[in-house]
Amino acid sequence: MRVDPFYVVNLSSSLDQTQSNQEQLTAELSSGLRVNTIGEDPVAAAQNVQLLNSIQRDDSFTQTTSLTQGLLQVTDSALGSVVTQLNQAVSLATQANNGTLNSSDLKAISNELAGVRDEVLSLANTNYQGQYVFGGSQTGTTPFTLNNTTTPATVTYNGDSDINTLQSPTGQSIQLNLPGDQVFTSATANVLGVLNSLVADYANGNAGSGVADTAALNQALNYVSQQRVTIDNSITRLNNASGAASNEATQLTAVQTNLVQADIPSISTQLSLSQSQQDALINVIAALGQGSLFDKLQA
Amino acid sequence: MEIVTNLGNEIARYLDLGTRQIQLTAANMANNAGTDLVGDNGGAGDIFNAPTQVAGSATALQVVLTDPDKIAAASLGLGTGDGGNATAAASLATQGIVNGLTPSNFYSNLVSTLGASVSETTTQNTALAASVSQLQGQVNSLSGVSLDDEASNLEEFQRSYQAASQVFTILNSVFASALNLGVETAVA
Repeated sequence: MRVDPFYVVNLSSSLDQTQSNQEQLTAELSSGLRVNTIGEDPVAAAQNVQLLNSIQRDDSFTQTTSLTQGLLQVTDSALGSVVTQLNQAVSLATQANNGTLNSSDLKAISNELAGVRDEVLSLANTNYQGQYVFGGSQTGTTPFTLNNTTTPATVTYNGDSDINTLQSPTGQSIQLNLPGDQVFTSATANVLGVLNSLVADYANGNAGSGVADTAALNQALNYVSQQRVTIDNSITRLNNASGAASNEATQLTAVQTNLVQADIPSISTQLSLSQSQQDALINVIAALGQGSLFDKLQA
Repeated sequence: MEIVTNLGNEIARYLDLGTRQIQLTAANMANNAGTDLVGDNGGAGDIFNAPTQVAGSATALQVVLTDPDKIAAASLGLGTGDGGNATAAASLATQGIVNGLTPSNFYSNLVSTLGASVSETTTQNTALAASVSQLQGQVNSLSGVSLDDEASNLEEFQRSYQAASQVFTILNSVFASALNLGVETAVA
């Protein structure tokens, strides 16, 4: 068998190969990624899909928590103000019940208590970004309306008893709201009802059933403080869940980096090797392309 | 050719119409099973348009929901502040709604299978290219014209011609010598 007379063609195809090898190595160097197409490492590419998915879920949870924290904090501070108002109401009622005040003083206290009631009512109608926080799922409707025509005045709840929850990526359910009927008009401690009764008690200038209603008011005060604990717990749990999610995202990002990042020293060595090969090939081609024996014959 | 067909079948199997419809239908059903901001209590409308035929399905696949208020986040019968249906829709992510797999596991499987096919095809391509180049070399060595070969043949023929002409020169001088009876003359 004779030697292939067209070996230069083969050499140039080898040159093409080293060229494409170099291009791939350069791409890995510039992107810093070992896997630029799924064919390079199918298993790593598939794992990368899962990791990206988890990271995105963690990120979107972290974003949601910062919005939700606002809502919970508004709810918490509203409940805090309600507690302050109720404390004031208790001291007013206690003052009214000690038997030393005349009827005009009692009427004045009744007016002050009405002011407290109105303040509590407006706190019960607190809204956050246009959404009423104590309306259950009915966030678009004013939760409480006052009817002054009856004695004592009555308060109607327009919301429902729905409790909203936020689910963390780990499946934890975090309570996001307290329905208004549970906080302000509950059967065990009807905050607004007791305030209305007290206003009516002193409105006529005598104590009426003020003592019993004051006891009920104290109970209501404790009850609201207890309800506030639920929201405080939610804030703590939300902060913890958010911290856990961002930690997880950080860890997953590190895993992802390990999985697909390029080994720069190794690639640099390969690139340098490939360049040497290419140079050698070019030299061989240049030497072999110089002609045939015919050139020698003419001499 | 066989490889290309296999690859095509692989992709078609994974992206088959039924599979995509399962996913889109699940998302659409979720949106239709809740209450949206504009007050639709159920039947808030589809989010995605599920293609009805395989040809051109990638183009036909689109989001048809135009009003973000039509996203039914609340559970049926509850006020707009509820998030029950949104939680239910989010939990689709962890349910085996695509061939018994979660969407992310399914996609991850697709990527891995497709990647393996690509990798296999690339390897076979390299092997076949090497084989072609080797065979081409053999063909060339049999049928190609080597200039060096031709040059050496030419040299050989020239030398033969020179040798033959030398024989004629010698014969000529022998005959001349015989005709002139041994006397050297100028006549050849």
